[in-house]
Amino acid sequence: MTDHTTTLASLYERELRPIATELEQHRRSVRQRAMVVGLGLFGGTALLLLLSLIIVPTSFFFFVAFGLIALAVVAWNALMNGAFQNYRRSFKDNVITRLVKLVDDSLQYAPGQGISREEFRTSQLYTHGIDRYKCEDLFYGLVGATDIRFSEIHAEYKQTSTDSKGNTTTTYHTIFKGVFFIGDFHKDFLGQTIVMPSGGSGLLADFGRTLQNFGTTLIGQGDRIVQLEDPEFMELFSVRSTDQVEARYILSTSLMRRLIEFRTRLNTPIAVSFINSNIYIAIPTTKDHFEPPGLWSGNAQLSMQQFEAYLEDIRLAAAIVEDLNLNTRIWSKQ
Amino acid sequence: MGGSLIFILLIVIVLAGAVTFLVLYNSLIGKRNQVDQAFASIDVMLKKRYDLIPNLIATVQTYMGHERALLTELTELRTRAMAGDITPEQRVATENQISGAIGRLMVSVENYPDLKSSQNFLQLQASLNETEEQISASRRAYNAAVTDYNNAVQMVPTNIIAGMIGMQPRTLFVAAEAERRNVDVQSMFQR
Repeated sequence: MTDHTTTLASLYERELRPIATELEQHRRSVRQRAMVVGLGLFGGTALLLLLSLIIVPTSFFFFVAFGLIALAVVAWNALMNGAFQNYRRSFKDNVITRLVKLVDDSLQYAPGQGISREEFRTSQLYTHGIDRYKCEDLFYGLVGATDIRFSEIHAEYKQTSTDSKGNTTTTYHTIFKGVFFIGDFHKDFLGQTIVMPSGGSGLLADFGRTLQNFGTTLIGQGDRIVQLEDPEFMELFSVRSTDQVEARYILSTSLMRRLIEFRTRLNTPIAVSFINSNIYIAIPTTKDHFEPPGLWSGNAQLSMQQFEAYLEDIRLAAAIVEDLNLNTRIWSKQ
Repeated sequence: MGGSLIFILLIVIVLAGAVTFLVLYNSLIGKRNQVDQAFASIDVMLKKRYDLIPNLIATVQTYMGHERALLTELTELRTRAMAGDITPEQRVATENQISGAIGRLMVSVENYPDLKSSQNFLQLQASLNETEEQISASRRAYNAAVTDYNNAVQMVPTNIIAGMIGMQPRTLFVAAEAERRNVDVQSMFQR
């Protein structure tokens, strides 16, 4: 860790500080433009409103006022959108792209791309039908011997309800929002093993598991609950698999320990699945990662600490490979 | 009126009893079958290891003139384990000895740099690690199945049925002393 900090410190002096200064200038100029355009538009609207106050009858005034203000907001957004996007892109191209190379030289960054909906579904971690799917900030490449990819994902489903008057309202509910990781697992396997955050431990949870197992037996569905030896692991996760032996081949005693530590360090309920010789990890987060400082904040010149925070987010990939020991290639798979 | 009600009640109780018995009985048999299946899967993995041993010996012996005794021992152990006429306990002991012998062989390979870096050996080593990992996984699966089965055999209410059909608790697979010593890294460095 100290190693990374020193590299970052020297890089900050040499390269990052000028980038930060330039970015801050860019941000300020965009903000200034946004303010000027805003003042012009809203000033004009205010004038029009005054005029209409004289011409239009009072009963109509509120409609006109509302329409004009809405129009002004839309126009302001349309006029400024290009500049906003430009600012975001320049941040991603200059800051994130540079920091990626610090994590691993072979790691690539594609801001506009992400893990596809199909790949997300393949993980079998979330079975709910997806109605709206967004992804961005794809990182991909090799970390050591391990091929990895991860990106931000937001998957939602739609719920339409009709009230007594016949009005339909559509609301979107989140299935998953956060960082989604796919890595090449270091062992070959054929079945599917899914590690979900546990519903808890204790008598009631045990009873629930028994019921669930009984249910899957009745339906004849392929996967069954896997009862593993590590009590701490079973407290944090519940495991289902199509193959009892293979599940234990994948979840070796050491990998269980590593997953416990990783889960504890992140302090968030992660879900992991092992399918097609890949490992899929879903890490729910509320934060929007890899985004520039807000346009309206006072002074947002990126400090060394902020660079470090961004770097830490990108380093997640390397951290997973290290923490879960994915670079160990002592088995048949090379 | 009262008589027929009691009659219906009796039928319901008998039916419920029969259904409960059937469900419990089936779950017991299911658990026992899982134990047998898990045991068979250990066997499959152990046989994979038998297939690897001749390859290992063929690859290693040209380099390792000084380790003849160890190689002969390994060959003999393999023959003994593959002969069908030994008891399960003897079989377990022999398999443990094979694990020990392979472990020692892998340690002595450290003294032969040419061998250690040969492509053939590296491949074999990977396959061996693979089967060892698979064996350990199937043992753990077996132990989980046995625990599940033993719980059913010893706990109320399934223990009553288990007693009726003469089901006995099974023993868990415990790693032998020799095997535990294998993973003792310190003793590896002292060699």
